[in-house]
Amino acid sequence: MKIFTLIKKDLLQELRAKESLAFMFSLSILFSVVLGIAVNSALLNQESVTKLFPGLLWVIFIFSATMTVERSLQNEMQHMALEGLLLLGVSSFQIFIAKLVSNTLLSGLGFLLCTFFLAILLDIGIVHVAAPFTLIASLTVIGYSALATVAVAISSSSQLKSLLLPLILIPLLFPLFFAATELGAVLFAGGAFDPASGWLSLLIALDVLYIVLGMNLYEYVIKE
Amino acid sequence: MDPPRTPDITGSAAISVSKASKSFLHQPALRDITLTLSAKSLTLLCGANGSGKSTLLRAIAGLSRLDSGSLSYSGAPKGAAPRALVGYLGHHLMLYPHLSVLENGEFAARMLGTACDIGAQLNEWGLEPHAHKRVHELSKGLQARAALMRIFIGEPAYLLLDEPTSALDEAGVEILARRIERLRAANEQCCVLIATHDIARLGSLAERVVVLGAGAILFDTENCDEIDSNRAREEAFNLYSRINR
Amino acid sequence: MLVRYLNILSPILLGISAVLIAYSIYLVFLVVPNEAIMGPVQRIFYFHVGSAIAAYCAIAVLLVCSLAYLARREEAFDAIAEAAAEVALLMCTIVLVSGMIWANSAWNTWFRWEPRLVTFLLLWLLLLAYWGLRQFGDPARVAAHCAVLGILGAINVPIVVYSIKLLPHMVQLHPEVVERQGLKDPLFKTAMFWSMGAMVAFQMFLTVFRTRIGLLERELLRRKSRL
Repeated sequence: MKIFTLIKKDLLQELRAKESLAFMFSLSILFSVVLGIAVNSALLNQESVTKLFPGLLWVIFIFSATMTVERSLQNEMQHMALEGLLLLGVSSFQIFIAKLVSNTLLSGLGFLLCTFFLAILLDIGIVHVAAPFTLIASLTVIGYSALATVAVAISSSSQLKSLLLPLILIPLLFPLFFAATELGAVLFAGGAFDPASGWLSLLIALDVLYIVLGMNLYEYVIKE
Repeated sequence: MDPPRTPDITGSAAISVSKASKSFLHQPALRDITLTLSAKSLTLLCGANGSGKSTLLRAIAGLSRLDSGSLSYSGAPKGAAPRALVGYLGHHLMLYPHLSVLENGEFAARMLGTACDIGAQLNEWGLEPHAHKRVHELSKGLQARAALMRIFIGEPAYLLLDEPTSALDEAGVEILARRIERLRAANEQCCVLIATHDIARLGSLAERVVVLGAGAILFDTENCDEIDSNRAREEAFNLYSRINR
Repeated sequence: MLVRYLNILSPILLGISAVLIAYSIYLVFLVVPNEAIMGPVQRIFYFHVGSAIAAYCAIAVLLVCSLAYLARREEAFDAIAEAAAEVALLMCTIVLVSGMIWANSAWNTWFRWEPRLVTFLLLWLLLLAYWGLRQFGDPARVAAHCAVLGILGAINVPIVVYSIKLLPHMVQLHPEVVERQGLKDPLFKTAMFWSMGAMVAFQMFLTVFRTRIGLLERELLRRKSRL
């Protein structure tokens, strides 16, 4: 299937280029350390730090993932391979889905790294909430990737790509961010979240919405 | 599913451009261009920089939207460039820098759904020794060859090349000429349009020459019925050299 | 062509909104009595709410015109969308500033994490993103890109409002609550109605006016290049 070939191609490029992976690794650890220092100097008790954890985690994630996803699109744009794909008869729908999956995998990996580093530095136990946490994280990363795929394509064609990307992408992420931090806070404070709470259904609805919107709008972004 | 590999061309016109206009940032690039390219033709598009050659090629390839006017292709619904039948190479390689030459070729073949002997293609373009090198490791000339190889993999029915020889050496140009001949021999209805400054090396291939200037057609050898075709070609090239001075 | 219609429409809307604003100011400052709890500062609240409604109207126009542009690729839709986004940004700014003035007098703080202020802060950022794309985006593709961003942003607006309502612990010192408790006099409702109408009319005038400027700018560029 074409989409699988596209995804394979994306991942192969990432593995070989190593730039994105290096970026992700270093940014995750750098931001984690900075936040660790900040939290430490605030002299909060461990309970407060645990409550802050999901919020801080998503902050690092947004910044490091955004920079990583932007770099990974460079491989497509360097020689206008994206146009090449269109000429090969690949539809923009297929390109979007492939990019969505590879960005999700890439960002997902980034998220794991961020979680790992931050949890160690702030001494947060995650094992006991691993399953629900993975669920929330996966849903959020999927929604993030859907928006990031479109936003990166928009900003990459401009001169000021690095400035424009966070400017465009972050405001679109606020609903996801609300959901992720609220669910995360409840999870880390109490140990379980209420599946009937509006937030989980909101998160799922957002994912569906952003993917549907992305699928339909991507064509207008990449084609002239 | 995938469109047929060769279009069903019964008439003589393969690509028809009608009153095409396009502006970039309010600067006109194409002004009301009307041009008909027949099947089995090889046309050279000459013009100074900024005359609209690249814009026209991109529009015909379906990568760029016209502001007004229309395009039609035999074998495809009006206005829609039949993708997978179009082989277009512009100023960018359209290759993946971290994949090898072989992988880029195989990827293209897989996307097109064509079973093609990549090894033979690599051989033809002199890329065998470099097959497993990543594209970003190659010299500009070899990258250009790899890009061209990729275009021909699909045996396109409409071949649109924008200054293909700018990075090629003599040997590369010869390979390109041979490959074009092979393509035209294999597909009778093939329509070739090449935008170039390189009259010296490609001039002999041309059956028809169109000279563009400031977004309009200045000279078209097809419209010179009275003069014989060789003279018409010479006139076209002279005009072009004069403009370029 | 459209410019000609707008040339006629513009002064009409200016006239209507001027009258409505004048009438609202008269109502708000001279007719309506002082509100029991807050005092005179509460009067800013009429324009604050009116601007909020006007901002939502402008965002709706942005959404519709962005969709229309992608469907039809007509420059007019792009110009209207650009204008609507700018006006919405202006209206959001008014909401934020008036809200902060209110917050300062009511709760002695410049900003409070209360629903409307946070909602409009986030909307303001979305519209700032649109503005940024207009300024710094690839000029050849900016129209289509802005249309896509406009659609994504506008659809996000109700989601943001909904999410903030879901937040369990956000200080719900919403003016609405105050209204129900303190504003029983029907004059308050009248003043509210007229000031909302005034701000919406003003927003419509600004959108038309800015669209006219946008269309003229594009025409000017076209003619300059022909020289």
